[in-house]
Amino acid sequence: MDGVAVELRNVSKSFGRVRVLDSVSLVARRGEVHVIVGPNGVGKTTLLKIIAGVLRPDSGEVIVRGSVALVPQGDSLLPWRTALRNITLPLELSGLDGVKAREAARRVAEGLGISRYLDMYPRELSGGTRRKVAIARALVTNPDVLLLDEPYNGLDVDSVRSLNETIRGLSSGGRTIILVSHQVAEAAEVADSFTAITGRPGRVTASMDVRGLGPDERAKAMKAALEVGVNGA
Amino acid sequence: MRASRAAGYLLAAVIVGLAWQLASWASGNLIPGPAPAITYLAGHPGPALDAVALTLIDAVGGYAVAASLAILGLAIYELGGLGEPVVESFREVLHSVTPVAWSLALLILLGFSSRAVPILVSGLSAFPPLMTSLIEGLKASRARFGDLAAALRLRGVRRMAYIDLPASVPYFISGSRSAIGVALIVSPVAEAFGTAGGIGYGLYLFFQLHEYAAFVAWSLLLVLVMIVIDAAALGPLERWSRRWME
Repeated sequence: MDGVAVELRNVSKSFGRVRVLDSVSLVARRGEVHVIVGPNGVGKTTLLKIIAGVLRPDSGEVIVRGSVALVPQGDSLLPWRTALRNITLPLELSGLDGVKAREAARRVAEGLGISRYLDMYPRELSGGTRRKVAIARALVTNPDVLLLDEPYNGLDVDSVRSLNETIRGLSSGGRTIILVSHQVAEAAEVADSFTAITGRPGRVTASMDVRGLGPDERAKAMKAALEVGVNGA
Repeated sequence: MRASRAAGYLLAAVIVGLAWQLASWASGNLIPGPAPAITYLAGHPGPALDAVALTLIDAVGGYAVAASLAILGLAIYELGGLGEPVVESFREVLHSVTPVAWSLALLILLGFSSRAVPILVSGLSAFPPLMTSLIEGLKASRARFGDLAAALRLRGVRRMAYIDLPASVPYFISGSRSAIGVALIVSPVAEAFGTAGGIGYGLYLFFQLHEYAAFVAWSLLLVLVMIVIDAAALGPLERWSRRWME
């Protein structure tokens, strides 16, 4: 658990004249699940893209120790590819031999319990399984830090539970997970620490280590942090 | 579903046939009705098939020209920057030129018996609907897979090959349905001005010779060709392509 995997220092970002993030700082430690929680439209996805290196901040410092993979929000599987070929995509792009890419994809799929779905197309899969295939696609490059953007959107209770088991498993294997969500109760189930962001532009209202707390207490702490931001107290 | 579609075609055919017969009676049989037209076609299967073959060559050739231009246009559009307005403007200009103007200009340029004239005219006329459809596909792909492409650091040709082209397949097929329809409508126009044959040339010739039964018969032939191609190939292909993006 020691060691910083990701650190942001006073990161700000604007799109044109619209300021999206204002001096955001956070720390995610190696092997933990760090939840960035906040209502819609406060710049959480922008923050994740900055950590992924997809966007550059206007100011501030971003320190990422190790490789990063981002699982985008929504339905990002390519519908014309089977689950297996979706998972192998990053390896194909890196020029890895097809047989080795499929072997690697099968290993990752086995770890996530989705082996039996590999020959199916996304339209044949449930929402939860599609999400796991997207996670497998990110994991196949064996990143040190996994970034999940709103992973619970559109999932039913059972799928959320199953996805959280997967996230917990990945984290206990030593991988750092940064998860962005506006769904507090779901995210609280797996959070080791969290950063609450509110307002426009998004500002940090609280950062907290919640490892010693139960899921309900974690959720309460997150909600309290968000209310502080909303009420401006 | 299949039965209701067949019933729909049948009903439409009855309505068109009745309207046609009424028009014939109203003109004092100057416009031949369906019966003389069908009799003429049945009596001249050879020339009719030759004309259909030539018009199909012109239309399919024109579609191939349009598809090549559209894929090239998509690649230029994908570059962003000046690429987008250049392709949009090119499409607008081609969209605004009447096939008659293309026909006359190309006949002067390539000669009255040139097979290339109807092919090029139908290609230039079929390009705008196909390009419009492909641009819509590209925009939809950017909206849906933009974050994924960024996460995978896919840009330019690689992004086009792995994401934008496959995501554009349903749009390409839908646009192709319109483009082939336009090519089939426009190629007889170009054929009518030249001497290279085809349904359009036949229409012009029979009109000049006051062979109105033959004229109407070949008009009917063109309609039948379009319906058969659409019902047998383009429609099913478009329905299949919708599943591609589900």
